[in-house]
Amino acid sequence: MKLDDISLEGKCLRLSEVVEDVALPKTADAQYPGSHCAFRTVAGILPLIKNSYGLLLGPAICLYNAKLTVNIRSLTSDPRPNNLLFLTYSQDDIIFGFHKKVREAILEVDRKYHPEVLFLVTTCLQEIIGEDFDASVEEIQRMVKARLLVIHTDNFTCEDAAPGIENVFLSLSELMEPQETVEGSINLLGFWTSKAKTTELARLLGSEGIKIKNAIPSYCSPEDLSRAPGVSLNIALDHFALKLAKKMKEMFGTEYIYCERPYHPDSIELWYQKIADASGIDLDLKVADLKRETEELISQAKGSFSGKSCALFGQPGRTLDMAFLLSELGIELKAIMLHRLLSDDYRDAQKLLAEGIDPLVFRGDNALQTEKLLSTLRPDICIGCRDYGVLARQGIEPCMLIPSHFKLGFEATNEILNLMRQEPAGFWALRYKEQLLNNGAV
Amino acid sequence: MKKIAIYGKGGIGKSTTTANVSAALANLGYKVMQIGCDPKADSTSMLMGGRPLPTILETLRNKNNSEVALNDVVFRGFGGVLCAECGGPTPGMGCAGRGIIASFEKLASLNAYEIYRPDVVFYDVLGDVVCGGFAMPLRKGYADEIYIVTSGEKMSLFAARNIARAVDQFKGWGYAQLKGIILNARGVAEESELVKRAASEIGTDVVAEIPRDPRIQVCEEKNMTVIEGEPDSSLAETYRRLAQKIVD
Ligand SMILES: Nc1ncnc2c1ncn2[C@@H]1O[C@H](COP(=O)(O)OP(=O)(O)OP(=O)(O)O)[C@@H](O)[C@H]1O
Ligand SMILES: [Mg+2]
Repeated sequence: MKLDDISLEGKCLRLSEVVEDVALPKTADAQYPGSHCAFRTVAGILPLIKNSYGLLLGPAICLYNAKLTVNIRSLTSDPRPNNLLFLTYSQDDIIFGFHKKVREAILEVDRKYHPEVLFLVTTCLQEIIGEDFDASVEEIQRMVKARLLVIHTDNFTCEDAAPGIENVFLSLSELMEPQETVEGSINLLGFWTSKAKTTELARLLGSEGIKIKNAIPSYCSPEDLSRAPGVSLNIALDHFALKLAKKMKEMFGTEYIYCERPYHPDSIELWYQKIADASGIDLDLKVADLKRETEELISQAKGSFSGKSCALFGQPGRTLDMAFLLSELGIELKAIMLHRLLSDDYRDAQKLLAEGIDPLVFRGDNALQTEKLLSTLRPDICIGCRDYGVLARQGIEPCMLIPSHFKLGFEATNEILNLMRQEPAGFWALRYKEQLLNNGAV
Repeated sequence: MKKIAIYGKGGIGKSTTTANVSAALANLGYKVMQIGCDPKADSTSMLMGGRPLPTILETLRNKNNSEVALNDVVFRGFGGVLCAECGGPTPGMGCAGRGIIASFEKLASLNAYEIYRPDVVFYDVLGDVVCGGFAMPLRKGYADEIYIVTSGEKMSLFAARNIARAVDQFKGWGYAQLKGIILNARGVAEESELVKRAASEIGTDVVAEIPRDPRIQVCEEKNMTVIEGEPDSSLAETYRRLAQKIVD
């Protein structure tokens, strides 16, 4: 495959060329305000904390983008409640400072909505002006019942949303209080959907007398959070949550392990082993049974997928382990959309490379470039891409994995195999539209 | 119309000098406008009999922007000098530089210069040009000429050099040009020579030497310029000579 004739040259690397824990090369300076804008991303996370409101402060366009993100999500199979409030800044606020307006807004929100927690999310604007937002909020804190938590999102200082997301996780530690440790209880950190307690992991742990006390953020309440330190173990499922795990260790001495979401059965087996070891239980037999079932499903699925090609978009946890699963199904991996390689990814990358699998990796800072790459590579399937319009235009089959995010362990992989056979709802309409256009409709 | 920006180290005597020169020019029959570009808003106080002016930014904030008229923000002081103060936030809050920009934009949108047609406009800018906003008077269409006020004190000369360097950096942007240095003496040994040497290093001249003189405080106490309070003094004469030089 040749990339020389398109504007992507030098922006796509082979996996074998990528170094550990370094952001992939930036593909555009003007970036699509998606996952790169912490303000927008944080707006999407705050609804996951019960009894909270988020007050988003910034210029109208930033607020609009945040609102749009939340609205778009409300149309997916993982909608979140809307707990966001917006405060626009005018030129006067920039000149004279935000303090007075912010104070009035906080007092009003406290009076009208009675949130237990009120997140105050900044945009680049305050950060550039450099007003001491934290100190001014500290002063207001004395006047309100709501617990005020400031989330800084100074996007111009970084290339992705990670610092903003980490700030949300770290702010949650401020709600926590020292607790007596309840033996045989754990927290899942970095579980981004509801239903953590019905996952396969929860069932397996439960069968050995270990309870999941909290899943964070996962619609936990401030009260849940205040008691969260009273567990014998924190399991951090992603690197954002790892920050919180480390903070809780520092503040309360809570032990933690870091086990990113796996996808390949061998990896899931090791993942369970690590969790079992840290919890002092033995899950080997149960895990072996589940693994056998999943392997069975994989070998059945090979018939439908073998020989197809795909592009894979970043997934929760170990994206490259998912790539390994796909290659196991006989799918040729043409490209993986990733922002950076973390240490686990690096190990997974070595595994792929050892099998002679060396796909392109691409950061895709700009939606047009991503479409260009897809139209150049022409994969049969696109996994995890949410821009169905592009896929319909390019004649690529979409695969939507959101329901698998509600699951953990082999069941997640089983769900993925299931979802790969389904077309996302409504996609036929987009395809029909493309057909009409191709047939000369205006 | 001559548009002149006055820069210099904080507290060195920019406002005192500017107000006296404005007053002197007014007495010579010129139509003068003085715009204080400092959140402290104290530039024109000696011309206004000590009356604090409603600042442009406060007025914009309290009134509907479109309702703000020129006579809400520009006031006649001693000798008919048109006085305006940009104003700005409380120290440590907001963005004073943005405030200067917004005030200038407002004056321009109200056609202040076209309507008043002053012969000379002075921008009295606060001590240090810390960000783009405080360089606003230097921009094209605002000031054409810059004077730096300095004493022979080390830090004051340091600030003067620093401002001169900034002005030099804007060469080619069509910004205002440095016209000279005004020595406002503090009584440093061999002050005149020191400042002259610094001026020639910067590539400019000392256009006036104003002595340190207690009459300034006496007049200040009465909320007056020396031109108003001690018109026959030699100090008043010095300000008048400087004023004449600036308009020539
Ligand atoms: N030639 C002088 N002789 C005696 N006192 C003077 C002289 N020039 C200025 N002063 C005094 O110095 C003080 C500061 O002057 P002024 O307010 O004009 O400084 P400034 O440069 O405008 O300060 P800022 O940077 O704070 O705006 C004044 O109170 C004034 O009385
Ligand atoms: Mg002054």
